[in-house]
Amino acid sequence: MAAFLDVIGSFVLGGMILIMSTKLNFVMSDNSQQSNMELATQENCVVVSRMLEVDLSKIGYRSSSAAPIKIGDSTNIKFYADIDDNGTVDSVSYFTGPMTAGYASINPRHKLLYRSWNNTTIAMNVGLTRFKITYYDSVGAQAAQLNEIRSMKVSMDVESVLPSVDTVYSIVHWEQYINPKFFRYTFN
Amino acid sequence: MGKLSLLLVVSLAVVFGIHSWTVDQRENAVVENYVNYNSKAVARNINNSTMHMALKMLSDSSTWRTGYASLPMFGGTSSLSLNDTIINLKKNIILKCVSVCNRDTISSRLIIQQKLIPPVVHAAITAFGPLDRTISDMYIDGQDHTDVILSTGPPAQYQKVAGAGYFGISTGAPTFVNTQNGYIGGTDRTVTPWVDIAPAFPNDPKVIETSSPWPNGFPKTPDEAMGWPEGMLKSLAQSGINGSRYITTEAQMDSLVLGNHPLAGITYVDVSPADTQWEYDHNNKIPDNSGGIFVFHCDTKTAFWDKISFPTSSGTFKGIMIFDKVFHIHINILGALAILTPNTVTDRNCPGNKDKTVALSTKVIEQNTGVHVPKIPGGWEQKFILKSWYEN
Repeated sequence: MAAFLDVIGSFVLGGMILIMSTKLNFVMSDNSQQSNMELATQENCVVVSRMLEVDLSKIGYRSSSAAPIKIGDSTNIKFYADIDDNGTVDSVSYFTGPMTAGYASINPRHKLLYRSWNNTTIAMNVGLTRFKITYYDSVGAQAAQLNEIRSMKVSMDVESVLPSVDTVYSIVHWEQYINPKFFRYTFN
Repeated sequence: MGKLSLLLVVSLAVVFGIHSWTVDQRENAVVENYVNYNSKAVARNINNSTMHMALKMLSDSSTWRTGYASLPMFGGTSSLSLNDTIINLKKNIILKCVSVCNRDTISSRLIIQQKLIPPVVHAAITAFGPLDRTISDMYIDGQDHTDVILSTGPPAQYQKVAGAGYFGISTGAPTFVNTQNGYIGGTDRTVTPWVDIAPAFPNDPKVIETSSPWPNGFPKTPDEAMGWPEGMLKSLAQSGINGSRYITTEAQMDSLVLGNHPLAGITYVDVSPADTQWEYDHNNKIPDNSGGIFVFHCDTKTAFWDKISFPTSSGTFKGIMIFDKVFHIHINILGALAILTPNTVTDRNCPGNKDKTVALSTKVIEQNTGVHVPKIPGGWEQKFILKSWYEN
């Protein structure tokens, strides 16, 4: 009888350990994937934000126009600046668009961010789900006209390509006020 | 059985340990990624701050070229160098700054020019009103010149600087008619490189600017014409700096002429609204060998000097002259002339002036403004023209 109880007991304990180790495996796997996604998402966000900061802060550089921003809506900006400092004024634009063939993502909210430089357009699949630019005038109110723009706030959300086991996507939110020197100082 | 249990526990510990280490590495990478981003932002702040410190230093001392070497700031360091350079024949200062925070670097290059050419100078003669009659038949040369007089003429000849001039005539009026056959030259800045056009009659239309653009309106006061704070010219003239004088009557000017005391520094003739006409009722002369910044102004902007000359006919005024209104310009001017009134003389002619020259000279203008620009109150933006600011 005692031996039978030992066998039953060890069977129960062994089963519990097996279930725990299986559960641990799931948790570790989920945890690992989540940390991986978080890292990739954040790296994507940092790369894009640096690019935006560098480009947008140069708006108007060497441009002869008093209003170098030619298109300025919430998800689309086009401006003139000598981005590469080669003496020739370039046309640069950023805008978003839906995912297209060749750019796969499980995340249904993902969209593409486009950077156009002198009509050469590059699509960036960086997990962007939200991209918004707000323009401000000299007193900090929202600019009504392109020639009133003095600064801007760029905000974006970047989400992971894959969700965690519980279908939650990793998300990084970034926003930055950008005050291009062209609007801040008088160049002659 | 005991050994198997131990093996199981050890195995689990190893698996869990490896997992923890992997996750920890990723967490570190996430933090490191953020720190790098932050370092870049801090490096940018350091760079901007260093540039502003240098600009402030430079505005207080225009000869400062020491710069900074590994200046500690905000947890990083910054190095800045300053160099003089010539761009488009103008003296510029290039500031180069490299700022480092952790492993991130931001470098930038800024080019500035001292505000030595007053904004009113668009041409050898710049006026708000029509100039059809005022220029008479004299030589107006908007090509650039040094301060060297090659010949007293007539007409006087000055040493040219190629491809660096302005218009010959600039007027706010929509038209200009060279009614008295004046010889007008200048520099065509619409082409690259700029092309000089020698004084000639009929004049090349490229040396004339009509309907001249003034975003803030044509300057209404001499200070505005110079791009200086209101009252600065009068204040400097009253201080007597560099031979400056503050004059209010024709008799004061006459005594300077009789005593042969050349005008120098800033000569501010503050004309009374009660007697705005300086005409033939006195000598109408300024002393020989005069120069500097000459202002003839009334608060009502109606001061009118009709016929101005030197005791010695072949003399040259070296500097910039700003009048509310002037007619019969019987002097040579090397520098520039500006007329503030919209009501220039349009009902008379001024013949017999063919032996006089008004020639543009940025060197002479800069010699005269350079002494005073560092005294302009306010920040660096009051003293420098920002040409470019590029950040890598």
